[in-house]
Amino acid sequence: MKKVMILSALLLSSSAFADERAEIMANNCAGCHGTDGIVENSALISIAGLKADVFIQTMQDFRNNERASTIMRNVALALSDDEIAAMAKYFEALPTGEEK
Amino acid sequence: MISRREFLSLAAAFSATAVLPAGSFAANKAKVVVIGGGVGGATFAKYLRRKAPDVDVTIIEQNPIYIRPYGSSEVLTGHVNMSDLEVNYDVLRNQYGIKVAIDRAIGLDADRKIIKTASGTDYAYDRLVVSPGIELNYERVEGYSKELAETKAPSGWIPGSQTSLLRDQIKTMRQGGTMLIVAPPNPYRCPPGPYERGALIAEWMQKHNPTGKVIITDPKDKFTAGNNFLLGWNRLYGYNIPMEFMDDMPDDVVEHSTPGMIDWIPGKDGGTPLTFDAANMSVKTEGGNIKADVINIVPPMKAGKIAQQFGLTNEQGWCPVNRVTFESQKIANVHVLGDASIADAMPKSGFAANTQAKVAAYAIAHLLAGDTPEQSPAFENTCYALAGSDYGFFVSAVYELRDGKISKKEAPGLQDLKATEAQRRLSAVYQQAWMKSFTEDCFA
Amino acid sequence: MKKLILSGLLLVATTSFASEQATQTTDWTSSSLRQAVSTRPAGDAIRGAKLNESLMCSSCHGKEGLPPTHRWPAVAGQLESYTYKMLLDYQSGARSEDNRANIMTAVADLMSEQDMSDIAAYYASLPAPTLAQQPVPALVTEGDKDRLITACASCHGLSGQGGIKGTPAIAGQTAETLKRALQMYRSGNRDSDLYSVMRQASQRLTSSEIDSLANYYSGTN
Ligand SMILES: Cc1cc2nc3c(=O)[nH]c(=O)nc-3n(C[C@H](O)[C@H](O)[C@H](O)COP(=O)(O)OP(=O)(O)OC[C@H]3O[C@@H](n4cnc5c(N)ncnc54)[C@H](O)[C@@H]3O)c2cc1C
Ligand code: HEC
Ligand code: HEC
Ligand code: HEC
Repeated sequence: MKKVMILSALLLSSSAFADERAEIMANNCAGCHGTDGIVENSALISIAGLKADVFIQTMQDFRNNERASTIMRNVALALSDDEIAAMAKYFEALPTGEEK
Repeated sequence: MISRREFLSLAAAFSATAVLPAGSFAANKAKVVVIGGGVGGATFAKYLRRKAPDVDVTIIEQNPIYIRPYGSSEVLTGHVNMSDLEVNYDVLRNQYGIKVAIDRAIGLDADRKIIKTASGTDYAYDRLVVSPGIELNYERVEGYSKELAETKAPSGWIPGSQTSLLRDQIKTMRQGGTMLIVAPPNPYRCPPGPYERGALIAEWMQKHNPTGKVIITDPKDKFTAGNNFLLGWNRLYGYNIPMEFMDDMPDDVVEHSTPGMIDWIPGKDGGTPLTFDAANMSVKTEGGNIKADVINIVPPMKAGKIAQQFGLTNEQGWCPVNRVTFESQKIANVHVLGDASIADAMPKSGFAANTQAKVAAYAIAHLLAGDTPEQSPAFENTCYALAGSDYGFFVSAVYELRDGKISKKEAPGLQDLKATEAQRRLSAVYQQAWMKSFTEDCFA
Repeated sequence: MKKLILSGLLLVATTSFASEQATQTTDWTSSSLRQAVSTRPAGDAIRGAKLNESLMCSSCHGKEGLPPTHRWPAVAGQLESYTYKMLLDYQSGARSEDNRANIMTAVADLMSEQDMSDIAAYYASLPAPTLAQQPVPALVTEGDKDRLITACASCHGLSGQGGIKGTPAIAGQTAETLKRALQMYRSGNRDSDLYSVMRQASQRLTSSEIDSLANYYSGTN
């Protein structure tokens, strides 16, 4: 058993746990914005690959209604600045899928 | 001593002794077995394989095709067909390398960490995940039973033949007839569900049975997104909003002079259901008898039967879990997800099951690797709801752990009652879009 | 990844989610289009600016017609007649290339012809983006005679400013919108263009040509 654990520890991809909380938070967006932030053929929009500064600005604009929204104001108000910044970094690094 | 090859062929023959010990062969892979390939189970399996590609994941699911409950009320109005609710396991199998065994789990040997199934196969696990959904307690409404639900007064809360029966009953109901929905007590799967169902049927009646009526009788005095529903009903179906709900309502609320198509009887007005009289097609409530042409009873519910059989439930019938790992507080190495689990402030919804499953997948990846999971996970829920097909709203929240409990983070949780028509329209568009994006996130 | 997503879509039958519009529309003829556009009510840009916010258009297209992220189309400086036509097309369901169009169908459905004209006037009143100095792809100025591709500039103007026989301005449009437009015309999913002009103009373009055209027309000062 011990051996199993060590083995599987090695087999987890090395970057698997880098800034994991940001990733866990970002996973919560996937029901609407798609796994890894990509959703195709949908009224909902992909968020993978958004530049971090654009992402942060967008979330702030949602919060204070500078940018009108249906649901994102509520989502953005529930997130702290740090959480938004961490997710901004996370989504910026995700490939966009669309632009090849 | 038997050779490895012989051992494997024995296993293939489902010999009772041919239990594959966890991690013995095949590069010493850790084994995770998932009971239930619904929202929680499928999402869990997918995200675990993404996170820890070397873990061997097997889903044991009793039905070859999943029929999604979310969106299933749209079958009742013909907006979608039964077959549109079907989701298969091809992508989980082919792209994620998840084994999906169509079989029913029937027994647990927690000491030896083995699951027994109806086909006679034994599955060994290092970690077991149980996401069996709900069991409907028909008999808790006196006079009601599973048999009556399948022939006379369907519930349709686990979609399937009851859903199509209910659809056919509504379709063939006499002009001017009454459809009665009996809402359940808390907690239950999909809190806005019964009210959305009532609204969609009222909308359908406006076209096909304009003198028909929908009555919702309820043991509760309020419900999720209640104000949004009451406002939508007022605007669309002539419903008159009770005084105590009038705070914060926008100016266009009107007092209708004739009774509308939809009525809601809360517990304090006698709405609590007592007995179902199948012969007379009526429900006796605390307030009196309600006769109807079509009766849809959503009975009280508990965690899926297998969770009860395994001893994972508490006295109320739900499964207490550790909120970081979703490991059962009753049985070690067994985790419970989705509707069956006790997740504090989170509702029993598909969205909730999906985000819980991801947190559990990451936690279990760590546990299998012998280290510590992230101790402050985050969850999210959104339930979109419709008061009409162009009239959408939602309840939403982000959750974190506070004092070991899942708690809602401070933020508005509902669509503003003063939302513009454009916002309501767009929410209805997103409700439909979510059905697809969400299904893909769980199953593809 | 791409493959995975596509096969993911297969798992839900195309009819599964009733969000797809099934509206049947009659195709434009040159006279019906001319008629619709020329008899529109006169646009009031000030009222249009207000509608841009109250109908939530600004959430995606920006308060000044420039989108908050590159995922949405720019509408600043667009020709009035084109914005008006697009809104008519969305409202009737004639433009519904995929589920993303459902957004526009839902909001256009709330609009009167007066509203459409006012918004069109507002967008036209905003400064249009201009193209940066950059190497011009031959397809823009020359087209490709061998493959019967007409130069884009012959219809959209030398600087992509539009206005020739009802063509839209495309200079300064976001790359993603340009790519989507060309792909959707090419596949025939976007099919409300009069006489199939854009379906034909895009028919023989390769994906890398679409990319370079999108890069060119999205390159602004
Ligand atoms: C009308 C209606 C509308 C809804 N709308 C929404 C909505 O808009 N948004 C939302 O978020 N949620 C919605 N929901 C709720 C959502 O569908 C559930 O919360 C979600 O499916 C719960 O996931 P789960 O994994 O716990 O259970 P399920 O998805 O029910 O999966 C359980 C699976 O376990 C299998 N199983 C059970 N026992 C065994 C066994 N012994 N062996 C093998 N397999 C077994 C079952 O066959 C099933 O496939 C709605 C529900 C209803 C009824
Ligand atoms: C229930 C569905 C839903 C969830 C969950 C959700 N979003 Fe959104 N998101 C939307 C919608 C709808 C919009 C369009 C704006 C609006 O109407 O709210 C949007 C817009 C956005 C945008 C703007 C994109 C652009 O290009 O303009 C960003 C960024 C975003 N969301 C980030 C997030 C993040 C981060 C999360 C998770 C923490 C999240 N969203 C969770 C539905 C959702
Ligand atoms: C939630 C986002 C959203 C909102 C709100 C919205 N739009 Fe759009 N709009 C889009 C998208 C997406 C497209 C199509 C882009 C594509 O397919 O690439 C579009 C396309 C358009 C086009 C055609 C542009 C072109 O270049 O083809 C016009 C004109 C337009 N919208 C006007 C409006 C108006 C007017 C409103 C308000 C009444 C509005 N939009 C509201 C997202 C939105
Ligand atoms: C024969 C004239 C003609 C030619 C040649 C032509 N276009 Fe167009 N283009 C049009 C017209 C007309 C429309 C508007 C069609 C409609 O109503 O959908 C249009 C629309 C477009 C749009 C959509 C704009 C938007 O924002 O919705 C893009 C992008 C575009 N053209 C790019 C090009 C490119 C790139 C080329 C060269 C390869 C080209 N066009 C060649 C006439 C032309």
